[in-house]
Amino acid sequence: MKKCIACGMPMRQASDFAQGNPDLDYCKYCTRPDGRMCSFEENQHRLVNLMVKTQGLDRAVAVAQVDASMRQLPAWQAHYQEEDR
Amino acid sequence: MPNQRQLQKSQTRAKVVDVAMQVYAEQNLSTSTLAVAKAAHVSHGTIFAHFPTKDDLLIAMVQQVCTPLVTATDAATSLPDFLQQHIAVLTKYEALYRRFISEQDALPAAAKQVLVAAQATVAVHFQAALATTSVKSIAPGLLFNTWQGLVQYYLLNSEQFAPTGSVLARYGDTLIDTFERLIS
Ligand SMILES: [Zn+2]
Repeated sequence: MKKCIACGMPMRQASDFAQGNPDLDYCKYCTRPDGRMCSFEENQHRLVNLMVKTQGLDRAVAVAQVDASMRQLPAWQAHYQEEDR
Repeated sequence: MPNQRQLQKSQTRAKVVDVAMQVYAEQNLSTSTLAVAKAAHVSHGTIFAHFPTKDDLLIAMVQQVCTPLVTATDAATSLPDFLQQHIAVLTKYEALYRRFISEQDALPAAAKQVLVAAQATVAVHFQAALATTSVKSIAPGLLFNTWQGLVQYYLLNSEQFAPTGSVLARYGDTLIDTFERLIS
């Protein structure tokens, strides 16, 4: 089963994929209105808001947790390599 | 296709994790891996061949519990279904999960990260299940934390509610029913 390279969500059916296209590597939530994959900042913003909403976390804690999980995702490897340099 | 040797290797690894989960369910997380070797009837060296450090073994155990938690709650079709799936997996791993939450400081950072990530995903699944029903107008995070708090209170104080046997097997249905009535 494919996992979204940007947020890690498992994509089981065509409708989970960006543009409903199973050939793409990112999910419907990580897609911009024009169909391209969202940026690092957009993804970070969405996931932090999701954590604050679903678990009521302190925002700074959510930022740290999102950072830890984004570090493990294929889409952001180049971003972190750049950042850690 | 994996050859005989690889197959045997992955079977041994699975057996070590399985036995370790039983050992640490019964004894606290500071117990040495030697106890796992004895219980699994393998040499201490065999444990190290698969898990170079005790932390590696703890991470594997946490993953073994978190994977079904995430998968089962993802498949939930309604809020009652979510609550039942959540309780079912926690009941299966009750004693070990209790140690994970009560002895968190004994877990390596990487294992805590697995727990935190799983918790976040379960919370998202909770919210998806919530959307299928009409509930009181309360922030989703607080609803999730209320459920979580109820379950963990019973888990952490099980000796007061179920001195023998599984506290979730005994009270799981009551907790689900109560929570549903509280929020609807
Ligand atoms: Zn995604």
